[in-house]
Parts: sequence; C-alpha cells; structure tokens
Amino acid sequence: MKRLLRVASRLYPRAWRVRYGEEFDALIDEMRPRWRDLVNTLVGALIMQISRLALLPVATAIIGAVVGAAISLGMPPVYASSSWVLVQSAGTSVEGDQRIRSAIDAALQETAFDKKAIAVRLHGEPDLAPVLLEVSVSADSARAAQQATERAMGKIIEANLIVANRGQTSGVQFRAVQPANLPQSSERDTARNSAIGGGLGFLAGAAIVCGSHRRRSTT
Amino acid sequence: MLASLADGEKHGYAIMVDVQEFAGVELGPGTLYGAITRLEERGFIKPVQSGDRRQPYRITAAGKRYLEEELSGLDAIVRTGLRRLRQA
Repeated sequence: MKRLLRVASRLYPRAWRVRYGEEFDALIDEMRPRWRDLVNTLVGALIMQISRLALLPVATAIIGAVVGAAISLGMPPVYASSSWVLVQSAGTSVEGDQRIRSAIDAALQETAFDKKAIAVRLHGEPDLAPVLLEVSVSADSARAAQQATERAMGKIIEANLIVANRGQTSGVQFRAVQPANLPQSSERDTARNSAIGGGLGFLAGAAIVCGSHRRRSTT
Repeated sequence: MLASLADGEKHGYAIMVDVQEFAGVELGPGTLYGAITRLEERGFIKPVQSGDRRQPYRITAAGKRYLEEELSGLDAIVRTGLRRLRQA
C-alpha cells in the first residue's frame, strides 16, 4: 500500500514534488495507509494539478471567446424571417406527407428565390393533421428576409386558392397563422454572442471551481 | 490545522494524529498536504529548520490572527445557539 501511495504521489505537479515530495514520502512511511488514503492522495493530486493549471483554462476561454467573436464578425450578416402555416391534408401518414411536400414544391417552383435560402419544415405528424408548416427565408437584411418570406407565403396560399377556384382538390389546405416576422438579429450576431457567452461561461465555471477549492483548503 | 499548530510546531504526521484526537477528523495525506500547501502560500504557516525528513511547521502571526477571527466567529454562533436552546 505504501508503494501505491508513493506512485500516486508522483501524479502531483513537478514543482509541488520538488517542494513537498520528500516530506510527503516521510509521512507515508510513518502512517499505516488504507485504501481510502490512496483515493485521498489521488484526489489531492488531481485537485493540485487543476489548481496549478487554472491559468490555462482561463486563458483558453478568453482566447476562444475573442477568436469566435472575430470569426463571426468576418461572416456576412444573414437574417432569417419565418412564418407559420396550418396545413390540413386529406391523406394519411406517408401519403399525407408526400401530398404536403408536393404542394409546397409546386407553390415555390414559381418563386425566384435561391432554393438554398428557403427552409421549409413540417412540425407534427401528417396523419395527426393538421400540422404546422414553418417557412423560413434568409437574406442579407432583416427587411429583405421578411419580404421574401411574405412572397413565399403568398405563393403557397395563392396556389391553394387557384386549386380551390378550379374546383379541384389537391388534398392539402393551407391557412396562415403567423405572418412573416422582422428578424431582430442576424445569424452572425447569434454566432458572436454564442462564442462570447460560451467563453465567459467557461471562465465563470473555472473561477467557481478554483475559488471553492481554495476556500475549502484553507479553512 | 491552524488550531493544531497553535500550541507549537508539528510535522505532518503529528498534525494528522492531533487533529484526529481533538476534532475527531481523520485527515488523508492528500487533504493534509493540500491544506499545508495553501496555508503556506497564504503565509499562515512556515516550515521550521530541521535535519529530519519530517518537515515541522509553525503558525505565523498572520495565521494566529486568522485563527482568532475564525474561532471568534464560531464562538459567537455556538453561544447564540446554546442560548436559544436554553430559552426554547
């Protein structure tokens, strides 16, 4: 057991070993160690390593936050506006899902938007209709994103009306429930805030861990 | 640990035994030397010259002041608690 304790004591930081190593070995020689003393030594070595390296995570957090913010500032601003539509499908299950997607594709086919800028997401199960459809369009300004989303929504509703006027049924009905919003912040702002927030959060965590350890050890 | 050193210098094992006797707390070697490291860094204890491998430590003036403050705080809590228990 004493040999195991000496091996465990080698896990302490080198500078600590130089200062306290010999007297720590003398302590081990004098005591009758048990398993819990081995665990205690291992935990002590781990805490000592963390407290000695405290500057490293703090520096990493600050550098990470600054680099993340700088990278996000280099990105072009992208604003995303979204709108919500209630969708009713006559079909069920997989068939209903296909009907909805076909109807959306047909409606958006006429738009001049970059297809990569449009995101269409279905929320819910088509066989548990009605489901919610989220239409989101990205642009380089908040107003342009909102207008593009309004146009996309208009196309979807218009396609639905044309089908209804012809007396046909596509099996899908759309009803707008929330108009296109004016985005308040761009994705670049969100990325920058996430980078800074993550860095500061890590910094606060490291400070709490080191602070609580120091308090415990000295009282 | 500071209370253990209050009546004179001691080395690590002696502190360990003393703390167990007067406080009923068993200090592991990692806990003991973690505390010794911190207390020395804060200037509350100092190593004493010794030819032995076992390094004795003594409490400093700053350590005594800190110990007095901590014990005074604890004493106030103990006296208040006992008084309220008697009144209840």
